[in-house]
This record gives sequence, structure tokens and C-alpha cells, in this order.
Amino acid sequence: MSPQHLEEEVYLDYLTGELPAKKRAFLEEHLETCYECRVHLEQCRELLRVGLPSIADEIDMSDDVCPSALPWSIDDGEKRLYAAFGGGAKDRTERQSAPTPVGPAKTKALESWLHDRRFRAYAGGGLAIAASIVAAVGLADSLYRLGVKHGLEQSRGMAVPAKPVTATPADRSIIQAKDDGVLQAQLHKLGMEREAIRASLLQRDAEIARLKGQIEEQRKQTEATEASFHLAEQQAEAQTLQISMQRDDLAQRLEAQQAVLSDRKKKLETLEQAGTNDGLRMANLENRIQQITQLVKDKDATIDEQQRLLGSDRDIRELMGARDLYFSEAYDVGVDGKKKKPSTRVFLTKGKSLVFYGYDLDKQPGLKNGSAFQAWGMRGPDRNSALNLGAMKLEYIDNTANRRWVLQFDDPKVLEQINAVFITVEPNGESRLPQGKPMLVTYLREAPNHP
Amino acid sequence: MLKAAGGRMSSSPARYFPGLLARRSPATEAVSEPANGLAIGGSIAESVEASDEDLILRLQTKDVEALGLLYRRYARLVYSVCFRILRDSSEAEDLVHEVFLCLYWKCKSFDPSKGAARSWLIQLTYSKCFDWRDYLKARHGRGQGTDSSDALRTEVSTGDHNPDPAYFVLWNARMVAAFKSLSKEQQLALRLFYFKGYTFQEIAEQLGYSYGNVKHHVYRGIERLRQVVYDRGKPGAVQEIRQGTQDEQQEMMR
Repeated sequence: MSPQHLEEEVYLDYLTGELPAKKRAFLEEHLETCYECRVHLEQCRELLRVGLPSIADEIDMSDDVCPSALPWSIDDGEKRLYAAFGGGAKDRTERQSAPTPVGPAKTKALESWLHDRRFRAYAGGGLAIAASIVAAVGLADSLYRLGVKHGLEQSRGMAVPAKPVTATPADRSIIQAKDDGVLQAQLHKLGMEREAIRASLLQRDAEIARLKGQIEEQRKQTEATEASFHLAEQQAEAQTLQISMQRDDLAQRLEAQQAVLSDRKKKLETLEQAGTNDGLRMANLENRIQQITQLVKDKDATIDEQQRLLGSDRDIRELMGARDLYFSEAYDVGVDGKKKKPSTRVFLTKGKSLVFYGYDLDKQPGLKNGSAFQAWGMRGPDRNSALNLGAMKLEYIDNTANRRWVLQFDDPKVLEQINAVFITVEPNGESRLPQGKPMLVTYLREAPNHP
Repeated sequence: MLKAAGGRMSSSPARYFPGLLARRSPATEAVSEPANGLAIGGSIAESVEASDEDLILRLQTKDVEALGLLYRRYARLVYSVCFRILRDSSEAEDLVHEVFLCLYWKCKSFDPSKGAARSWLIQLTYSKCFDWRDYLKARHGRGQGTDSSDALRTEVSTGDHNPDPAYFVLWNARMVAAFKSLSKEQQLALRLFYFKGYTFQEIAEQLGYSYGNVKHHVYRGIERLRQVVYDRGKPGAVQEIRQGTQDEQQEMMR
């Protein structure tokens, strides 16, 4: 509690009668001006006067000692009670015929006083309760109606009764006058508090309506969510079904494709096998072709050889059968008077052909690789006017040791012009003019010596 | 007056301080039985037959005889409570009378389905007792009944809270749980102070506590009840109550 308000102990001292008289004045003065402290005090008072008694039956009083008898007789007490309603002691039959109870002066006055206290208590305490127990709206409302309304009505119409036992008529009038003022003030306060409570109730109603609206909205949202969820579920099922069908379809197609593939594999294997066989056959055929080609080559070579041999035979037969044949052999002689190794043999059929043989032409010093033996026909003393007859061609007679160079020349016009033939060694192959030294010169202007 | 009556309390301490919330024993129920054979004629049979609730319902139809039957049945119980709280036989006798008159005036809103008639009678009796004791105390503090000032009237009158039975039902629903939430010391102190009618000093002597300690337990118990009952629903109320409980526990530890 804030410092400007009273401490809790002061209230409770006040309510339990423990507060000293001098402090009580201060408290009452403070209560006049402080609404909060007044409410606090009323709450405590309500708690002690109603709250604790409300649980009296639940409190264990087993140790309580009850007096064995009342200090007065039960009958007397009952008569006194009836007297409060019927004006005196009556027996049972009298009591039943006295329906309207009218109490004695003391009891009636006390009752009236208690009524007065009750209404004011309701007006104050009931309001404090209603203002405080805000959570229990219904309870507050009922208390409000029960207490405030009743209290206000009674306050308006009631004259304040005198104090029960000791008040004199003069006291009563004073008290009544003062109470009127107090009542008016309280009435004003109560009216304001009532308005505050009404406003609070309205706010609470509005809050309840708002919360209800929220609940309704939440409910709708939940329903919408459920609906969309349901829809999504259905769509998902449909999709699942569709996918399942597609999967089955694909599985079937896959099976078909696999069957086709398997079939094709078999075909491919068959074809591969056939290809392998064909390859083998082709290889065999190629082998055969090579063999045949080789045979053909061999036969061609044989044929060429035979044709050459046949040509040689023909030359030989023509030479052997020729009429104006001039046959001559020539040697070169060295400075020492001895024959050199190279030699020639010439067969000239007049006006027809010249066959020129050279033997051991390579057996002379100063020969280089690439040198050619070239035959020339002499037309006069000038060596440079000699006619080129062509290079001598090497051919083997029996083996590599017995070598012979041959030149055959069949142009009659050239044969008419020349009177001798000779050979030069041309170091750089066949040339247009003779560059080497002439050797093995053989004269042709002789009479035929055969037959 | 109260101090004079206090002398009776110390005769048998153990009898006055048993476990707090044990259920009522059958022997206690016997208190509510008719005290003696003073009933006249057929009233014994009638009172035995009619339940308390039936009698209250009859009372609602202005049947005064039902009030007499209730009086015969419960006058002794009511008196025992009144005497214990007020500690004066004369005042207690007057108050018993008042309790039964009040029963007549307030019976209209009694609902048998909401509670027993006997419970209401006890609630009403205690409420009346506290009310009247405060009035007597205030009068005593201001000069032995000669004070008729406005302040005294206001003080006591605003404290008159003897409401309808329906109101007690509403309070009871909140208070039972609230009371159980108190510490054992607070429950015992409240029980002895309010329901047994002992003074702080008497309780301190019986329990071996200091005067201030007993007063502290009673006041803390009341404040705690007030918080639980009134501040419930206010933001932060629970926190305050928890804090209060922790403070109390720390204090007890010390």
C-alpha cells in the first residue's frame, strides 16, 4: 500500500477493536477523504462479517463444549419469540390464529434498526464487493441489483429509526437529522459508484461480445482450413490415383520395350555371329586373292621371262639367219701392250640393225657409283658430232660374275650415217654429248664377213 | 467484560486446540438435538418428522409455528456460539432471540438445493455475533453504552452484514478454498480468534507464542483471504498473493 494510505494493521486493529481511541479519530478522518482506504476497510469488514461466518459450518468445532442447558427455559424463550410477532405469550392454538406478527417495543425497534444497518451495509459493502469481484460479472450484477437497488429504494423511503435500547426521543430526532445528511451523501456516492459499475459492466459485455466474435471467427477459419484440407486431400488422392495409373502404364510400356530390346539383342547377337562368319569368309577370300595375285604375278614374271627369252631367241635366230651380217670383236690395249678386261662384240645387219654387247665394262679403274656406260655412233673425226645411241643395259648371262651390257639399235637412217661405235663412261648418268674418254672403238665400214 | 470471561479459557488447554480442519464428530451433532423434553403435546413428533429445510420452507409462508420448532431444535447450539463469542450470558440470550427473528426475516431467499438449513443458521449466528460484538466493543471503547454519537452509529451500522442465505452461499464457494490456502498457523489463529472467541492474549498463552506473533498470523490470514477473494481476476493479483506467501514462509523460517 502506498505511504499516503493507511497500513493494513490499522484497519484490522480498528475492526478487531484493538485500535486505541486516539488513533481511531485519525483513521476516521482519513476515511472521510480517502475512497481507496474506505473500500479496503469495507472489504475487510465484509470478509469478517460474511466471509468467515460463511465457512463456520466447515470449521472444526469438535472441541466445543456446549452448555448442558440454557439459562432460561425453552418454553420461555419460545414464548418470547412468539411475543415478537403476536404481542405476548400464546399457546399453540392462539399462535395459529395470529397470522400478522407485531413485536414488542424493544424487539421491533431493534429489528427496525437492524434493517437500517442492513440496507446501508448492502449499499456500501455490496458495492465494494461488486466493484472488486470484476471477474464474476454475473455475480457482481446480481449483487449489484440485490444490494444497491434495494438499498437505494429503502434509503429513499425510510426514516432512520432510533437506537434500540438507550436512545431518547430527542436523541432519535438528532440522529435522524444527521442520518438524513449522511444518507444523502452516501446516496450520491452510491449513484456515482453505480454508474461506474454500469460502465464497467458495459465494457465487459463489449469485451465478451468481442471475444465471442473472435471465437466465431476462429471457428470459421478452422472450418475453412478443414474444408481446404479436405479438398487438398481429395486432390492428393486423385493425383495419387492418376500417378498410379501412369505408373502402371509406364510399367507396361517398359515391359514391352524390354521385350523389344531383348528381341533386338537376340537379333544383334545373331547378326554379330553372322558378321563374324562373314569376316572369316572374307579373310579366307582375301587370302585366296593374295595367293591368286601372287600366282598371277609369278606367272606374269614367268611370261615376261619367257617372252624375253623368246625375244632373245628371235634375235639370235635372226642374227644366225641374217644375210649381210658383220661380226666383230674389239679390245682396248694398255700401255703395257696387254689387253684390258673390258671387251665388245658387235653384230651389224647392214641397213637393218645393230646389236652391241659389252663385257666386263665395270672392271676398269676410276669408276664411280652412278656412272653410266653410253654408246655413241661416230660420224667423222670430231668426237662431238657422234650420235647418241643410248645407254648400255646390264643383263646377266649365267650368274652375277658373268655380266654383259647390251644395246640394240634398229634405226636404218642412223645406221647409214655412222662408221664406228664406241663407249664412254658418263660419270653423271646419260648425257647428250660424250664427256668421258672413248673406249672400245669398233669400225663398221667393212665388208660383211658372214656368211 | 471480555477480560473477565477470559479466565474460563485456561482450564483445559488441550481440549481447545485440536487439529484444525478435522471433520465434525457425531457427538457435536448431538448439540442440535432438542435440549430436553420441554416440547408441548405433539410438537416432539412433529419436530422429529419435519426436516430443517421443510421448516424453513414453512417459515417462508409466514408459518410462525415452524420458527418455534426450529427454536426448540437449535436454541442451545445458537446460544453456545453466542456465549462463546460474546462471553456474556445476558447478551447471548438476547442475541439468540435476534438470530431466530432474523431467520424469520431472511428466510425468503433460502434455497434447500444450495445448502443445509443448519449451515445457514450457524452462518447467520456467527455473523450476528461478530456484528454485535463489534457494536459492544465500540460502545465499550466510547463509554459503556452512553455514547450515541453519529460516529458510533455509522461505524457499527456500516458493519452490519447479515445477508440473505443466498449471499452466504456465494461467499462460501470462494472462502472454503481461500481458507485452505492459508498456512496452518494462520488457519489455527483465525479459528481460535474468530470461531472460538479467544483474545490474542489468550491464544498467545495457550500456544506459547508472543502476543505480536498471534496478531501477525491473524492479520496476515485476513489480508491473504482478502486478496484471494477480492483481487482474484485483477492483473497481478496472483503474483501479489504468491509474493505474500513467500514473505510469510520466509518469516516463519526466521
